[in-house]
Amino acid sequence: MVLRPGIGDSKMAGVRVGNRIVGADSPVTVGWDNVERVEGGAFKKAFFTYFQPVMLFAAIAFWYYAPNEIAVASTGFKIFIGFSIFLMLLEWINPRYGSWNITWKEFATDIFYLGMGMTVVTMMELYWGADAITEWVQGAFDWESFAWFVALPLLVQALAISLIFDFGQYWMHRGMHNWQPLWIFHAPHHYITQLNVYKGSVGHPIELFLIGLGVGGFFDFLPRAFLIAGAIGLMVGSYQHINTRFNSPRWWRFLFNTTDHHSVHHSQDYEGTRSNYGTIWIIFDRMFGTCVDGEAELLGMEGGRRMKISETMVFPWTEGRKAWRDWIAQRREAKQITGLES
Amino acid sequence: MARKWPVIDRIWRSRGAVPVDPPLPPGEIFDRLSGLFDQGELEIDQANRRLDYRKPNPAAQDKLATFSNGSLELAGDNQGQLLRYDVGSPALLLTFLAPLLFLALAQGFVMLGQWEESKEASQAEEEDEEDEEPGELHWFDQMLGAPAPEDPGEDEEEDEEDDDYSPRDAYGLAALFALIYLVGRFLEPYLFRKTLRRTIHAGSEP
Repeated sequence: MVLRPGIGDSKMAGVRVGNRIVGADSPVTVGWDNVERVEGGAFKKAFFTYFQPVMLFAAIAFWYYAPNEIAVASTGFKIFIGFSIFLMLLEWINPRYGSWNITWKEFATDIFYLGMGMTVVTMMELYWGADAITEWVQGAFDWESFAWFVALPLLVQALAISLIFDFGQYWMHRGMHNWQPLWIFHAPHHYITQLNVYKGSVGHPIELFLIGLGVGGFFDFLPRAFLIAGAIGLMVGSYQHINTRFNSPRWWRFLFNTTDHHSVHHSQDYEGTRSNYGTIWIIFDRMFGTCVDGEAELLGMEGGRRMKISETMVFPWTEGRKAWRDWIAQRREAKQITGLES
Repeated sequence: MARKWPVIDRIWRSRGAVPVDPPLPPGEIFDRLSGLFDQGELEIDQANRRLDYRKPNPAAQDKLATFSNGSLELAGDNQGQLLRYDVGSPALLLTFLAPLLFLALAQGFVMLGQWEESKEASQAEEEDEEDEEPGELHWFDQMLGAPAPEDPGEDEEEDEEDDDYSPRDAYGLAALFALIYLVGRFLEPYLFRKTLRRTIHAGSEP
């Protein structure tokens, strides 16, 4: 069985995963036993094995016990900035692939998209996003019967928020890969050719808006439970797009989406991209048969063509117009054939 | 080398020279450099010892991803050769302009905030919302010592930072892009010179 076929082969053997062949278009390593491990001294290995769980539990404990004046969203933002900078340092210390190293231009581009997310997408969310939808849904139904949610232990509430939100994201993301009107907004994100800390923000602003729509907010939860759920999201989701190699513990890889999983999702292999849709949790992929445990180095679309910002911004409209014209042409053709037959 | 925008083109252009030591035949130098131009358009004028290039969409790891167009010209003779360069960077120009975009977005937030404030003021006169009771902690959380939730009425004055319409993030991004530009303006020409020097001398080192 060929696990890492040579780069440059036009069609490779691939590996059977369920009823699919993964890695037939581009190299994908399948199976945890074949994924590379952290190399180096005992301290380095221990650090990159325990860093992720220690940070996750520390963040949960912080938000659980922080006094009310500290347990606010602005503290979460400051932690996000600090943690992101620290992750960039880890990318430099222990890169997963040299071919993903951050450059000045890549960093500037990533920050531009992050900036779009913090400004334009935030504006969109204020009027049409999850908050507005939640307000509408809460106003349209009697949710009093769900008030018992607030009486549950904080960690249970936080876990419920995280799971409900990720369940929504799983299906939104899967929908994006299976329905053309959504795919044209998501496609630019798949033109990234390497994973770095801020690459999760790269994409069309409408795609970022759509992926941010969640159903978790429909229920009333204690604000602290939202903050704990946000901390779980930050301490697990941050590793989706990152150029650092970790020896994530077995239970972590079973439960959560890792860089390894997400690199397969971003690979140049078509079947690889149709796997690992989760954002924080990988368990929904396991449940619905879309999980591929493995990793990939060659990422992107069209053989790794980098998409410029200008093209990203117009891509949904240009591609949408093309798809619309094709659809009209196909309909006309079908009508002509039916006319001839009758 | 003609300059279309004298003085201000220093924002996105870099000019300089790299010594070729020991001197090499021009053909050999251009051969060694050609590896840098696998992608994009390349024109070599051997007679004038000049090379022009343009990379419309360089790959992320391309050594010339930032300075994606320009020309290189060989000057001097066998006694002392210099490779002069004049290169341009659309990325540097866009990064230089990016703060303006984020300042404009900050103004957008200010305007939206003022509009929402005036809307809320008129609505507040009509309806006086009752504050909800804060939820109670589960006994398990109380046992573990988690702080109890506050009365929502108490934190009305708190945290203007959390205002949805605050232009703070947009101002911060404008400042960040100014910093990114400054770093790029000095770092990228340094890396470009380093790449040229390494490429030219790649075959000469023992």
